[in-house]
Amino acid sequence: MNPLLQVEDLDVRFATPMGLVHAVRGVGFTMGREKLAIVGESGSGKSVTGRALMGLVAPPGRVSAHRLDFDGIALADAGPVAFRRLRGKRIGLVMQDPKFSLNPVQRIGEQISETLRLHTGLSSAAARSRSMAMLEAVRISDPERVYRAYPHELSGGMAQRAMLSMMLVAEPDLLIADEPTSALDVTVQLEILSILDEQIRLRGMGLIFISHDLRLVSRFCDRVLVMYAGRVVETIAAADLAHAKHPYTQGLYRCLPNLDRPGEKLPVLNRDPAWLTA
Amino acid sequence: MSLPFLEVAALEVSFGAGAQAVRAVRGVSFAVQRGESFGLVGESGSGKSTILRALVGLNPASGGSMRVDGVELGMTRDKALRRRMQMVFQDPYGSLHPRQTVDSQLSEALRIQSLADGERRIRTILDQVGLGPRFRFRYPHQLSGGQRQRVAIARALIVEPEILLLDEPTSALDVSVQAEVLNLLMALRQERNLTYIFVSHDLSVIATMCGRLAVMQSGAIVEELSASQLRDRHTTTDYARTLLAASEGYRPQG
Repeated sequence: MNPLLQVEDLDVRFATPMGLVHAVRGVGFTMGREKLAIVGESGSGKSVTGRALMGLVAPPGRVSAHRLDFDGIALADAGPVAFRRLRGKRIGLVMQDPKFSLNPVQRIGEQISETLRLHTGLSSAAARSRSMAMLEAVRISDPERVYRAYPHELSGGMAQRAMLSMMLVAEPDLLIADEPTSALDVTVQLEILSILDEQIRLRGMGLIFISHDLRLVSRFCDRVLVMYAGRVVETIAAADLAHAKHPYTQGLYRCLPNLDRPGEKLPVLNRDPAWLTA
Repeated sequence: MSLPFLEVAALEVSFGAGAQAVRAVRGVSFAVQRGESFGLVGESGSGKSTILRALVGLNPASGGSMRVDGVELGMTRDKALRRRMQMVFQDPYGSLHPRQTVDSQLSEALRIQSLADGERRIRTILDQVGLGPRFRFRYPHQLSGGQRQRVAIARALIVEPEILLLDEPTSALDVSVQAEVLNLLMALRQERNLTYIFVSHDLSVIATMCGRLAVMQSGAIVEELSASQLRDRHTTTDYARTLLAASEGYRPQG
């Protein structure tokens, strides 16, 4: 059986007036239907990696890969049409802030049903009832109201559930979630994560969870890719994050403030130029 | 016990009027001693930033009183009073002037307060926040998020305030940079015997930075506790317990 996703030697470059920026450098990994985290600081290339997997890197960005196979479909040299067939239907994307990723002038329900009508050819009545069921599945207690609401009428947590519904309703095989809870309050974060976890398990999907929060990832995901300056510097089981080998991973994990060590100076990250190549 | 250095009593802040009025802060009282670091923690909309803005005069208070060192903080404040209390905002991308160099932003603060010896003050403060002279003539867009927040801290400290109001100063930063900025703030407080009011939604940040904290919900303080009570999980209200549980991170079910 094919792995869900196989990536070898993924490169993303941006030609800018200031010169070539090599945002992703030779990233490779293989994943099945698991929860895989990509962690790193801002600018480490984690989000660009996620976008490259969906064919969403716009010019002047250029993507190249030795291999980019999704469920046996070779995408390394595929054009926009091949990606468009997969996006929304087989690969979904949830972004950080639902305020910016939902269409502000379209009702929530229409945005969810649109996915279905586009990818499954369901009638609008059938799409409506599937969408309504989906809203219930992400624990929205009054789906009728949310279906008719515009994004600005919803709280951040509600809007992120709507976003999740839109991405899950076509039953994709892989969901890429880019910091899906970073814009939310802590208590709301936990609720969204538990919904996400439940849906991923129920549907047997794969999840790529892009995050800067190592503590969260250590509990939520199965496996972690740690990125630094566009490269994967360490791949580790999430449960072993506290015992990471790479000094960068250790640094990221240890610099988090701890409730049980108040008033202590926090360990900081000393960046070693060798990490860029080693 | 000595008179508290900063005292907020029955503070009310409302926005709008009549039936549409939103009571953002509802009867909040707390007292902070000189040199103490006091935390305000809560979710978005709980009123914690509004309290800071009322203290510094950016929002009018609609009731209650605020005192610093026995002086009532009214609607109009003289320069001397403003100098004693400075604020650092959450988003260093929004709080610095995009078309002014670090040097001119620091000089402006000095000019407003008519402080002499600007050259020395600017050089000293840039060293103290760990930037150094080579950042002096840069524009904000030439700086990283962490460097910008250091400039914002320098801009607040250059007038030598006694109280620093910190509104989520690290939540827009990477965790690695957050650690550096928190360390800097800890060191500066010790060096200058500063009093901090530190607002955050992150209990572990508050626990690291503050000796005492208040938990806020819907504009009111629901619980006040010390850092050691927090460490021992001695919370009395359900809401504080919920927040504490949430800050301990995700727990998989089943």
